[in-house]
Amino acid sequence: MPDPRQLADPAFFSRLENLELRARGIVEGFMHGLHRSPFVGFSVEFASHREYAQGDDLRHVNWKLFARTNRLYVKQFDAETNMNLYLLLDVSSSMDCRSKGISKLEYGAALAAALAHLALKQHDAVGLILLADEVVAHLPPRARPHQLQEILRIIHNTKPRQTASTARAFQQAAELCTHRGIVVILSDLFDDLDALMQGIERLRFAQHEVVVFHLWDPWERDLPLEGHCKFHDLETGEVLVTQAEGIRAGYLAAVNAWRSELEAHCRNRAVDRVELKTDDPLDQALLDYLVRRAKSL
Amino acid sequence: MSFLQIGFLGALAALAIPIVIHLVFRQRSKRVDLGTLRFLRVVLQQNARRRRVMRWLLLSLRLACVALLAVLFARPYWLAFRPAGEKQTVAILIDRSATMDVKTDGQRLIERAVASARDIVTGAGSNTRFEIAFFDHAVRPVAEANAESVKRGQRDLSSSELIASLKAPEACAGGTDYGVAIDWARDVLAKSPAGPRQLHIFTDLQQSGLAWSEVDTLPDDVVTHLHDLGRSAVNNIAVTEARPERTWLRPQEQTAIHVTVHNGGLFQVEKVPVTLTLTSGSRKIELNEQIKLLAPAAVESLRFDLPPLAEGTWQGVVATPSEDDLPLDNQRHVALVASPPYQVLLVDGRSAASPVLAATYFLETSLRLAPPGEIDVTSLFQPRSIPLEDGLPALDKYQVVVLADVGEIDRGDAVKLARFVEAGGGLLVFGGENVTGPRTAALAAAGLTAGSVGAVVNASDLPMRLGTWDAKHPIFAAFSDPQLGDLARLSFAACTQLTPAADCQVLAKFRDGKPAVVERRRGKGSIVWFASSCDQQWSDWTRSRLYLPLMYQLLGHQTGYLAGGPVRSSVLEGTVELPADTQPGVLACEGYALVVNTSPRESEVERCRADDFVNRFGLKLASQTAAPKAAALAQPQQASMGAELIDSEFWPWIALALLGSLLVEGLVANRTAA
Repeated sequence: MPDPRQLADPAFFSRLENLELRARGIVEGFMHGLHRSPFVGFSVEFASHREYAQGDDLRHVNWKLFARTNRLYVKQFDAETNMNLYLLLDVSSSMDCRSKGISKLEYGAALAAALAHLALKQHDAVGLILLADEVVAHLPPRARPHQLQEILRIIHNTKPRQTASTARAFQQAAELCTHRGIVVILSDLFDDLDALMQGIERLRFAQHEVVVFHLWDPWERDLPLEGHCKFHDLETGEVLVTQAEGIRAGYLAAVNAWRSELEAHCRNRAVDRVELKTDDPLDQALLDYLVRRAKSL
Repeated sequence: MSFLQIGFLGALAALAIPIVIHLVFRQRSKRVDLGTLRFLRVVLQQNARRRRVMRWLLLSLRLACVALLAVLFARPYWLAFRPAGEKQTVAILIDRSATMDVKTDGQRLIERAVASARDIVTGAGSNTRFEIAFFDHAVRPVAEANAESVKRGQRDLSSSELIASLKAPEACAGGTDYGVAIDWARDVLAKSPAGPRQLHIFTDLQQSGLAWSEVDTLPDDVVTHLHDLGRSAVNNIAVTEARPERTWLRPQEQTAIHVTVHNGGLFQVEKVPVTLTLTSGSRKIELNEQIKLLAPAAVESLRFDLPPLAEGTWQGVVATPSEDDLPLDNQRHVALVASPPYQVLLVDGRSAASPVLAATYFLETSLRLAPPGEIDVTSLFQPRSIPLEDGLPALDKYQVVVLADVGEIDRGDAVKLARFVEAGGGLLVFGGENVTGPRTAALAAAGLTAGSVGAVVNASDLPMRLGTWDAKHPIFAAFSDPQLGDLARLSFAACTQLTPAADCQVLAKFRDGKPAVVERRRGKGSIVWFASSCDQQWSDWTRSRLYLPLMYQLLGHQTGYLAGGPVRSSVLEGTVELPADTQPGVLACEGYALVVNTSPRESEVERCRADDFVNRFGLKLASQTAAPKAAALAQPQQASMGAELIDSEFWPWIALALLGSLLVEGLVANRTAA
């Protein structure tokens, strides 16, 4: 995994600042004002009083002040925290695939760091769960200033693991996501589709909003290879030897069929799926997602 | 299936090439890490079986292409089907060279050989097929000698027919060439049906017959029986050379004959008489010499100085009347001709005031090699020039008639010339102003033109030069090397237009393609047309150093001198084209005498050991080989470098299959992922 300092690259994060401004301008304060706080009255802080007006909630009337002044005042609050963001990062061996210098895991880690940074800037609570055969690491969501450093440290110490199936890990992760919020899954989803969907359904059952960042390596997605190739399965170690151009058409057909099936499953479960290739610009990918997210709200 | 060129099957080793390529490309695959192979597996499962089949098919096709290529060069052929073991083939070679005339126990070696061969034929069963041939310097199959069987379409003779045909020659005179005999045996055995094959060789193992020609070995399964009939020691005094200094001389001219005598025996001989006897009609010359002492393996030379010879053909022998085992080479035939030079009649078709301006002036001078009125004794030709107006004399004594710028010839003279050519005379016609189509009508009517004669063609800006000529023709063979004379340097200002008939042969052309020299055979004689003149009318080539040699070549061809002259000699060895059963002597041929003698090598009676003979030709003797193995009998055989096409060859089909395989390979390769 890259050094946490790389993940917190000032240049990159400066682009994120810009991204935040652009996103905010585009989606009219998506992170701050548009997503609703899932819990009523949770983490509120008194700000000031104002005179009661017809229609104000009687629960917010300051009755002690009424007793002293015989005038009705209602209390006003500042919103401190309005969302829990759960980042579920797949650390299985298949995420170690790299054809363009950066692996899917590194790409996903950078994406998770960026999302955590954005969320923390909005005072949202951000948590992290690393998935393999089971949950490898878990950081509960918090909005404290050092949460980002903690997330980066965990990501940095993580190595790809041989994984048979992430379905059980998703089940465990659903149990760990106790408060409603947004669950962002960063994975290549190379797993049994039914088992995978069971885990996601569990998250949806817990009233979470689920967003899937579906990560691809360019070679996996398009197979832009020529000649005789010995293909290695990073997960199982299996080897297949064949001529790339001869099977490209069939390969792409199989990939597209799987993508279509996956898209259908996600759509049926109201899950946002965003496909990203490791050669896509990260900030551009985030922006695209935020725009799409804002439009869907 | 058998192969004519079994050595090419070694190219089957090239089958390793596609295999190596196959393996090398497998090792050069590029490593690619993917998160999952689930999609690849889907694809591969869909066409795994098809791809596997196609890959094996592709490899098989490539192997087949290489194999077919190798088999194609090996020239396979089918043997005629016969049940295994039904027939065996036995080839019998009987040496009939001169040394087989040596007697043992009162019987000639050739007779003993024939008797033994008959025993083999008689003792064989009906399932044996025989190929029998006599050989010396050439092979004479017995089957070919029996023309009746061939006419009946019966290839194999019956045993009784074979025995009847198998007779010892009355006289043996040829040289020994084992190479041609082994070549013949290899060919007939290679073409024989499948089954056991044997070769019997009856010979005296003469050493000198081993090294004449290179041969390929016999098929592996041929078992050879070598029957050595020769005597361990042979006494032989031989006249190995009788060479006249000149075979054609002028009447009353003297010459000498050089004689070489060789003692091929084991003992020295004293006082060896050598006699030269020459006769011409009733005239006879006999000269005697004596060699005092002739050691074993020694050679002595003698010289017989002949007296002046009267005109005529003298023939005789140089003989040593010693009693030895091989009397055939005790004498050697010689022949000499004492006669005037070739008589050449030059007909001048131009009425010139000065002799120098005559059309035949330069030609006559060049042939005479001497001033007018004199004769050079070394000249081959004796020319006589006459004007056309005088008419042709009797042509009996002439060998060649030359027409120089002759146009309007009398029809009777033309007919006379035609008869002259029919009888074997030579006619040489040179062009000129008078030689045009209308004027040569009489010659054309008598059939003496080489096609049609046209008008005179004058050179415009550049002179006419000879462009091409047939360097293999006797006339121009002497000019095949430009250093000996470049005929292209001769230039002519004009020529007579000739259009050759179908039966004419164009021997030389001008650079613009017009025929320059054309020959036409008629009867026993020949007609040669030279399109330009032989004087200075159209060219100054009479001053060229090529003029005289070219004229001598033209006339030498017409007289037959280039073919060997009036006396020609030959020995019975090698590839000499002589009729079968030609015996030593002086043969009277058309226009010349042919002296035939035995090969001097036959006088070398040293014998080789059987092992040397076997090793020389790679034979497998019956004593070295057990009973022929069935597997060995089925092995392919190799014939000589295929001069002839065996009927059952099927290489065109192999070529077709190769072409088809290449096409299919291309299609499959384009549609197969590795």
